[in-house]
Amino acid sequence: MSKSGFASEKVMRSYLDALLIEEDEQQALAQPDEAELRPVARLLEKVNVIEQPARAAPSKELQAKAVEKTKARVVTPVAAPISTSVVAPRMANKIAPPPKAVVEEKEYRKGDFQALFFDVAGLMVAVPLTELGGIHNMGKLNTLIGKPDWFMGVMVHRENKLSIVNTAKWVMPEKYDDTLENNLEYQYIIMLDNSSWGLACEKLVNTVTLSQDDVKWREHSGRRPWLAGLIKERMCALLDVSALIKLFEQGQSSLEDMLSVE
Amino acid sequence: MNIWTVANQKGGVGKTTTTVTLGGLLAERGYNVLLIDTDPHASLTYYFGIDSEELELSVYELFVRGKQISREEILQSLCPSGLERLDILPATMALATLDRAMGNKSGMGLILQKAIEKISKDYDYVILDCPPVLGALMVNAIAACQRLLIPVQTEFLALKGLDRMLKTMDLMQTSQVKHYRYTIIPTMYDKRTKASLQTYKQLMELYSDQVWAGVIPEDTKFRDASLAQQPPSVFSPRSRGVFAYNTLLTYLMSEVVSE
Repeated sequence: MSKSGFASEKVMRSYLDALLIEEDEQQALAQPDEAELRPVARLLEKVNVIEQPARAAPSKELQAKAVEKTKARVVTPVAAPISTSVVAPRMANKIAPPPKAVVEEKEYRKGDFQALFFDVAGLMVAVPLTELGGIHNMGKLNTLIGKPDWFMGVMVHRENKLSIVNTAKWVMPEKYDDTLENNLEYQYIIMLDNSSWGLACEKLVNTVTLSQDDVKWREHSGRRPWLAGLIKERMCALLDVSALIKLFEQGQSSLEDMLSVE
Repeated sequence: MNIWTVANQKGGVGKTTTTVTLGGLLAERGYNVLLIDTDPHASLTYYFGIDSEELELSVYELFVRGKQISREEILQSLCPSGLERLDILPATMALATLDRAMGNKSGMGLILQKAIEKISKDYDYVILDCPPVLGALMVNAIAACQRLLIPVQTEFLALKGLDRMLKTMDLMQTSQVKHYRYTIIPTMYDKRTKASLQTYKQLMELYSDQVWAGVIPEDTKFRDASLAQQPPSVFSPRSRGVFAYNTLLTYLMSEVVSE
């Protein structure tokens, strides 16, 4: 590929975007993505639904203890900004066998494990590093006119088309106003395992080693399998990304059933 | 239908010769071929002795009419090349005004693509010849193609032009969310010159996967063929230049089959 860029690359991009992007084409491009994105939206919405009541549950005393405990375990503070395009692909051993319904068989259920915490508009979410597809710097997005407002667009990375979700808009649509939007500074994309789906995030908080006891694990594998559990001290959702990908592959109808609120 | 675009932002690298020769060879192999001239200089058009300024219809009308143009109107715009199964969609000087007229209106880079779709049943191959300037015409021609052919003259300044061409393609891939397949074709190769040898070596080092392993040699028969207003494959079928293009075509077509 090219060895050097245009001095006025921004101008060139703007020019080419204007010439090459039109509504019809955007819709055609978006169709397969949109079909997949709907389930993602619902999943993220559920994360929010679950997190809100959980936030109020523990006493201040318990929270303070939990914070202290977590601080003691922080092993790799993630310093932003991160300059490389892919900063954390496969930080831990990947699970070799296909994902199974039984949560206990996950790699991160075998003992202490690492999770990446990231922040979107003040909301914190965690992903086990074994199920993190990678982290990209937010790059040029091709916005698609006429598509749902939460779909930020498509980003091409090494010839791959990544579908980027406006995480804040999904998670807290009721709070998503102009002020929030103006204050949002998406910098990174959290890729979901090997899929093309990425969640936009503002800050990479840190990576923390968690013990099995730090998480209130989801015990009912048939329900909301995308939620591995709740991290007690932070009261945030721990995503089971491989299960989430598996749900995508099962299609929308089965996803709807499985996502029904308990 | 296979759509190939011959492009390089550097002039004089053999774009029109590549377009005409490949088109002629494809027609001789029995394919219905359309050559589209998108260069306001109309080199491809004049190659076949067509004075497009006297024509009522040209590729310019495609841009002016946009989505409104019908398949029949496009077919009416075509000119015969003199060779069976080979037609020309001529260019006119008026094309030079398109960048100003179209500005950067949304989707204007996709007009040719949509026009070609309308005649997709009429031809087996469409080859587009590009102007050597980055603008709406080149963007249209590249956006329309399935495969980009980039002739690169084997001389010292060629690599800079190639670099810019690839950068343009890179940006377009992002805008269009499309992966372009491209082949770099070393042209005007003269094994007696240091420039040819070194440039070819550099091409292979820098872009080996994308460079066609052969070379198109310098061949005076190309010039003679253009004077005779015939595709080189007709004018001088046994020339070494035509032999090289035939080898290139076989390579490109084998890739088409494997696709």
